[in-house]
Amino acid sequence: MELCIDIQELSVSYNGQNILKNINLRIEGPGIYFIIGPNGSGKSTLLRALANLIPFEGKIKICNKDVREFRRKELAQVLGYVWQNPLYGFFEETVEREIQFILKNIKKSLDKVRTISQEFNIEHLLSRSPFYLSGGEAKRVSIASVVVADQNILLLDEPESAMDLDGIKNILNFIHQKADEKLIIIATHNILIAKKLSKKIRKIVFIKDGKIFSVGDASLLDNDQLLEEISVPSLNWWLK
Amino acid sequence: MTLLDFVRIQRKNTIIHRIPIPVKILPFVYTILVPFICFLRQYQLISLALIMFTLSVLFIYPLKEIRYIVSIYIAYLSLGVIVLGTHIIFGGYLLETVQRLLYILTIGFSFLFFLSTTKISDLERFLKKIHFPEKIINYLITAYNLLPSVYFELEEISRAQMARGLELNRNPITKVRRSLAIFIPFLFVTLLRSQQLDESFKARGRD
Repeated sequence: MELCIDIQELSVSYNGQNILKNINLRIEGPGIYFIIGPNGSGKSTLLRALANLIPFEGKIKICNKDVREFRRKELAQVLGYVWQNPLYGFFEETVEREIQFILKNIKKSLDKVRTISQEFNIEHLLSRSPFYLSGGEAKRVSIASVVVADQNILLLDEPESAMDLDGIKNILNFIHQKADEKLIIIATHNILIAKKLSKKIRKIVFIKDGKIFSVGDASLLDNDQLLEEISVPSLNWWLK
Repeated sequence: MTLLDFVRIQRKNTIIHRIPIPVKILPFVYTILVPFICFLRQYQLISLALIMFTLSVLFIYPLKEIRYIVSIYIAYLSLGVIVLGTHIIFGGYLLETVQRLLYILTIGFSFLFFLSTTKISDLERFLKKIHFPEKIINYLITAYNLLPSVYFELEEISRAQMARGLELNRNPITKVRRSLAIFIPFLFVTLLRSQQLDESFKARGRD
């Protein structure tokens, strides 16, 4: 299957305010793609538009098919979107059922629940209510509840937030393993995460005020001046 | 009585919890149908009182939830005082007022009994078995599962506001005014949650 996302003249407005303005971008092939920008720059909105979760102007093609032409069930098999605030996406009685939810929707076998819970180290949480998990546990469950469907394209919105060291190691390990076969887009303002995955980065897109500010490879992460211009703290800034 | 108490009782595993759903739902169904089954007011009153009594005994003995049952009766008593007060002011047949009140109370009580003793996954299976529309089942299950978390959020917001010096004193006017500091963020959080829940549904393939 061809791994490709083509964004043409994408604009998103909300309450009369332009959140994304005329974005043109083509992402092709497996690997890690970062969308980096300050708070309120439109990173999450871009991911939501890619997953066809919000109304937008312009065109988004996933695997050469207009994203609006996909049925929800079809899109969930191709593209996995992990939302930012895990707790707000939960609704099931137990963690196990929460992970099964996507598999039931796309009519896939439920056998994968055990494997994915081992992978994300959440086996011991399966019988618990998802509403009473810690921040890091909830984040791991929310990621597992999407990626269990083994989509070829993954959209991760700040996957590292609220995680402790083990949680971050866990998710980085997962991204690292899958980067050779899947197209993974990560939206974040955390340069350290991008640095950790820099070997597998195909492209970095810097975004500011709803527009693409700069596009390049992993070497952009060392451009302190550029990072300062878009209000993202560089590694040197942290170490100073 | 709090919503969390309600969820806690539901997670118990007593003999009452193990009774098949069609049997447990009978008092609720019967209560709704009482006006159409018994035409004599005395029989209606007696059967409603009997249901209330039986359910109360079940709550006290096998479920061992005396505090819960006391809270329910206090809530009902308050409602009774309001209804009887209205009756005294506006007049009408007392027996009819009592009958209506008992009818509403028994419906509420039998429904509460059913929900408190039925696991949501069992209810889901039962509804699917009787070919209840799947979309409505999903709405019901989602709404039910969200109850404890919404309650938890309300508590968190109250704590956050109290940490910033909010005091809900006994003066009803200031109490209402200050309650807005809890309910406005609660409303905002609930709306935000419903929007994000909708997104999480769609992102996982549910139309």
